[in-house]
This record gives sequence, structure tokens and C-alpha cells, in this order.
Amino acid sequence: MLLKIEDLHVSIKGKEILKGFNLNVDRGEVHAIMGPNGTGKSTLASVIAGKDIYDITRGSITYKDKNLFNLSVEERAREGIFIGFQYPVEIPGVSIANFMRAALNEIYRYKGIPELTAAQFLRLMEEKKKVVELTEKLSERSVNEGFSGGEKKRNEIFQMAMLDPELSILDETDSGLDIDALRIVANGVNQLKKASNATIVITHYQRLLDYIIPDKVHVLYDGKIVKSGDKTLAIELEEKGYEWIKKEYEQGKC
Amino acid sequence: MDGFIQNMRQCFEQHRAISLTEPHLSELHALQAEAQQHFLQTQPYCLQSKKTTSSSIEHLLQRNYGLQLTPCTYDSLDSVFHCSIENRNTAMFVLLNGWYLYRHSALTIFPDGVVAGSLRAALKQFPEWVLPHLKETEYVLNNDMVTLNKALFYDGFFIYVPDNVIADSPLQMVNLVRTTNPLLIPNRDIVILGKNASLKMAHCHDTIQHGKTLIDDVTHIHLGDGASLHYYKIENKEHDSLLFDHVFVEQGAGSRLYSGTLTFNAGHAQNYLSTNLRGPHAEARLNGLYLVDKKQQIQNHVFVNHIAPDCKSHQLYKGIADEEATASFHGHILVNEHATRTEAYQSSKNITLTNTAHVTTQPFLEIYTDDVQCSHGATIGQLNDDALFYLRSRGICEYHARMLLMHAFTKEITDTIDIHSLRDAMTELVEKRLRGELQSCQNCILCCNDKKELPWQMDIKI
Repeated sequence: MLLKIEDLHVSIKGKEILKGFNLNVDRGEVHAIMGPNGTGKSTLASVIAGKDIYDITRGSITYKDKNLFNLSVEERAREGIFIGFQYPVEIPGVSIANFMRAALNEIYRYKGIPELTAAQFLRLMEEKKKVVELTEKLSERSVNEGFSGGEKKRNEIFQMAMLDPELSILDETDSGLDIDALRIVANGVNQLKKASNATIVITHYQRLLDYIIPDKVHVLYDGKIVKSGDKTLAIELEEKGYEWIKKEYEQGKC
Repeated sequence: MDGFIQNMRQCFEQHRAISLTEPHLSELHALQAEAQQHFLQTQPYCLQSKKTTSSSIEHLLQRNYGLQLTPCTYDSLDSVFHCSIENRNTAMFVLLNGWYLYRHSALTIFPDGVVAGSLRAALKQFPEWVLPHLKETEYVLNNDMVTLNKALFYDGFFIYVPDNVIADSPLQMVNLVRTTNPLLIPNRDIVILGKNASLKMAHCHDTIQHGKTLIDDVTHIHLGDGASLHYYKIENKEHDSLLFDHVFVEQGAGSRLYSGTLTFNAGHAQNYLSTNLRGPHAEARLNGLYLVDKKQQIQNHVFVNHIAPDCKSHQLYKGIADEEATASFHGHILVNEHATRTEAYQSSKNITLTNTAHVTTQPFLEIYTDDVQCSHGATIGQLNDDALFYLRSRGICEYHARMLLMHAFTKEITDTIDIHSLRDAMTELVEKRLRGELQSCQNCILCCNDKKELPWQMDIKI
């Protein structure tokens, strides 16, 4: 099992957000986590990334047989976890190329792989730019600075392509995207799918799942997964809306 | 302060020994005698603790400074000094302990008519160019470090670019210090650009041997109508040095001044930069960057005087203060009543890395006309936590993430340096400085290990 989350309880400032969350993800799988706003979807991504504003009150996350909570933010990334953020930060003055070079160097050093030469790095960057149809010179653009919503998300998937993670968690990657950007981003994710990696797509809408076909769909409500199924669950949700889940949950049916 | 005044009295005595040997400088002697009187009669202004943001310079003044009475006699500097900025396209000029070092003549006259070299020599050869600038009314500033400089200077740099001449290679002026005794170095520099003349230059304050020094440097810059000057000041001093650097600029109509003041290390440094925008459509872009740690103190004072209409000024000063360092920025914009359609902007951005570092930033806008566009902004903060997290979430350790962010912060200033070799060298120095690899003491920052031969021999005789 690549990722195993058991009975996870997470609070922020005394308010419990995740209330007994369970999830198993294996290599080669694509999972979709859906749910209405404010049910803890982004909290889950942030906790896995290692943001320290949360209190983990109970439960465990095991990643590649390691206790995830023992790893620092950067160690998680070096171990192959990638978070595609909902709101990527703008960093004026740091070029995308320098950023990726620094990140790859540290990941390679951690893994004991020889670092890329400048020429190899540039070749890799050109190759991965195609994944999300980027044409700009990335050595001259600061990370996310002045990017539109769509450009920021494309840049996230570009970073994912560069870092070649084992577990990717895409947090609301479809939000704020027009249909063309959505297609490009989804195509990028599909191209990166391998038998050795896994992806968790966190989304509010079923729309993205027209492009990225999930193996499993989970509905997150009130801090836990209340329903799981295959891709048909997503279609059912789109038709019936989240009210259906809320009702069933409150009636104790799920 | 009595001790310091007494010490200066001794310096004035010593100074007589330097100046009396050259009778043609009688007009200068009169000026200097007057300035000495003035200094002794007025209560020292900048030395009063209430006038400085920190009274901790007092111990730096109680050192019994002496003057370098004779020109230095090092056979050559190349065993101790190699400048990484200097390259084939840059002409380098050096002052050692305040005295100009030269090979053939104290003044170099380039084929295009540019004159560069020793102020002392220029005073002899071109008194009509130099003397008026020495007489300028500096007392109004009521700043006795300027008065002291006037009372004591014996040499400095002189640069003259004739009308319509675009100097094609940058000039580099380096003030070097090599001493074991406490030394007061009062340099006077004059830069004159004729109408539509253009020059790029770097002016460096540096140390090649650890010693307690008080540098009191005054530079007068005169830009004729339509002239353009890039002026970069680079400061890297040892921890117990005291540096006063004053730059006074006069700008004619349509002239452009681009200045960059970069302080890497400073025991205690005070930079004053003032420009008078006297002719319409003149423009001043004044940038600054300071990186201080330990107990270093840096003050930047900027005064932009909008006298004529239709002028523009931009100030951007950025700094990072670490450990127990203190940094301050005082930016004064004065828009006079006739300076209509003025555009004047000021921005001061600072990062404090510790709870014990102090940054003060003080915008001061004085506006006497309505038709102006002025703005100012000041920030003091820490590194952006969200950006740090984002970088770390891609595998970059916290240390490197901080470096990347600090480098990005400084880049806005270093990117504006318009001399390529200087920009590259400064970018590298900033990186070294941020990594803590750039030491101020013992080694000169411009020294590098891959020793190359200097393109010219240096003889020291005056």
C-alpha cells in the first residue's frame, strides 16, 4: 500500500475538521475525493503536505511504510509526495527554472542520484513543458508571478512532471479553469499516470472527471468519507447534487 | 566628545605638514583653514548622540586617529589585491589610504577627452574646474563630517567627461585601506559630466588589511544638461570601521542619474545621497541595498530636491537585517513651489531575520506645489511563510528556501546595475553574503583566489 490513512482526526484552533478519515491508495490508482465546500478536502491535502497549523489529534498516515508525521515538509516531497495547490503562491524574483533546479538537485541528492548537468536539466525542462503545452522561457519568469488562474494550475502540473512524484494530490486543480485550460491540465495529469505512481484528485465538480477517469470515487462529508464507489458515483453526484448525500448521511444510511 | 575634538586638533596640525609642501595650493589652504576653524567653533552636529539614531559610535570615535601624511609606498598591490569586478573593459583607479596610486601620471587623459585620476593633481592642472566645486556652500548642511572632510582632505578622485562624450568603458574607483594604526581618511572626489556626456562608474570602499579606520568621503557630482551617469557605490568594511559617505549631486536639465548604493558589510556606515534637480526634465533613480548582521549599523539618508518643473525621481531601498544589526532609511523628498508636474516616488522594503535586528524607515515628503504625483511606501517584515512552505513542499530544505527568497528580494536591486561585470559580481557577492561566506574582516571582498595579473603595473609616487 502506497498510502494508508487510518482514523485521522484533525482540528484547527479547537475546531475538528477531519473526524475519522480513512483511505487506502495503491500504486497505479487514481482516486477522486469529492464533496461540498467546507467538509475538509483541502485540510486533507494540507495535512499530507505538512502544513503545521493543524492539530492531529488521532489517527495515522502511513506512506511507503513510513510514519508520515515523522517526515519534514521537504522530506515528504523528496520521498515522492507532490501537492498541486489550490492557491499556488507567487514568488517574485525566483525564476521557475531556478526553483525547479534547486528542487531537483535536493531530491536527487536525497536519493543518491547524480545531479543533472545544466544541459540535461534544460532538456528535461523542454520535454516536460510539452506535457502542459507551455511555450514560454521559464528561466525568465518568476514563480506564478502575474500568472492567471489557469497558468498557475498549468505550472503546478509542469512542476509535477518535472519532479516525477510517486503520490500526487491535486487540490481543486480544476477550480478557476476555463474549458481549454481544464483539458490541458487533465491531459497533463493523464500523461503522467504510470503503474508505479498514484494520484488523488480533490474536486468539487464532476467536470474534471470527464477527463481524468478515476478508479475510485469517495465522497467526503462532515470530516469523513461517507460513500465510495467507482466513476459512476461521480456521475450520480453530478445528477443528484450533494443534497442527496447529505440526506442519506443524516438519515444514517451511509 | 572632547577627546575626539582634541584628536581632530592634532589631525589639523598634521595636515599642515602635508599641505604646506605644495605652495600652488594656496587657495585650497585658505579654504581648509577656514573649515578647520569652523569645525572647532561649532558644536559637532552629527556627533551629538541625540542626532544620530545610535549613540554607539562614540567608542569608535575615541581612538586617536591619525592621518596618512605621505603617499603609500607599496611596490605593487597585486600581491594583496585583485578586483573581481575589474575586467578588460573597465579602467580601474585606486586610492590607498587616501592617496592616489599611479604609474605614469596622476591624471589619465583618454583619447575621447575623458580625464580621470587624482584630485590633487587636477587641482594643480585644472584649478578652474576643481576649485569652484570645493568652494560650494556645504556649511548649510550643518554636517561636520562634511566640514571635517573639507578641513582635511588631501587627495581623491577626479573625473571629467567633456560635452557630448559618451565614455565607452566604465570606470572603477576603489578606495583601499591598509593600516595597523587608527587612520582617518578624508577623501574628496569630484565627478563632472559636460552637456550630453555619459558615464558609468563604480566607486568602492574596501579594506585589504584589518585596521581601525574612520572614512570620511565626500563626492561632488555635477551633471550638465542632458548628461547621464550610472553611479554605483559598493561598501564592504570591517566590523569596527566607521564610514561616512556623502554624495552631493547637481543635475542640469534633462540629465539622468542612476545610482545604486550597495552595503555588504559595515561596522557603522552612514550614507548620505542628495540630488538637486535644477533643470526641467531631469530624472534621478536612486536604489540601495544593505545586508547587515552581527552588530553592524547602516544608515541611508536620501534627499531629493525637486527645484525645476517636470522632473522625476524614484527611490527604492531594500535591506535585510540579521542578528543584532541595525538599519535605517531616511528618505526626504522636497518639492519646491515652482517644481510643478513633479513625479517623485519612494519605496523602502526591509526584512528582519531575527527579533533582535532593528530597522527604522522614515519617509519625509515636503511638498509646496499642487500639481505633483508623489508616493511613498515602507515595509518591514519577515520572509513570506507561504512562499517558504511552497518551496519546501517541492523538496527544498528550509535553509535553501530562505536563501532563494532572500536572493529574490535583493535581485530587484542588483538587476538594475547596468555594468554587466559589476552586476554579475554583485549578484555573486550577494549570494556569498547571504550564505555567510563573505567575511568583512581580513579579506577584501574584491579579492578572489584565482589571482590574475593586473593589466597594468602600479608605481606609487606622487
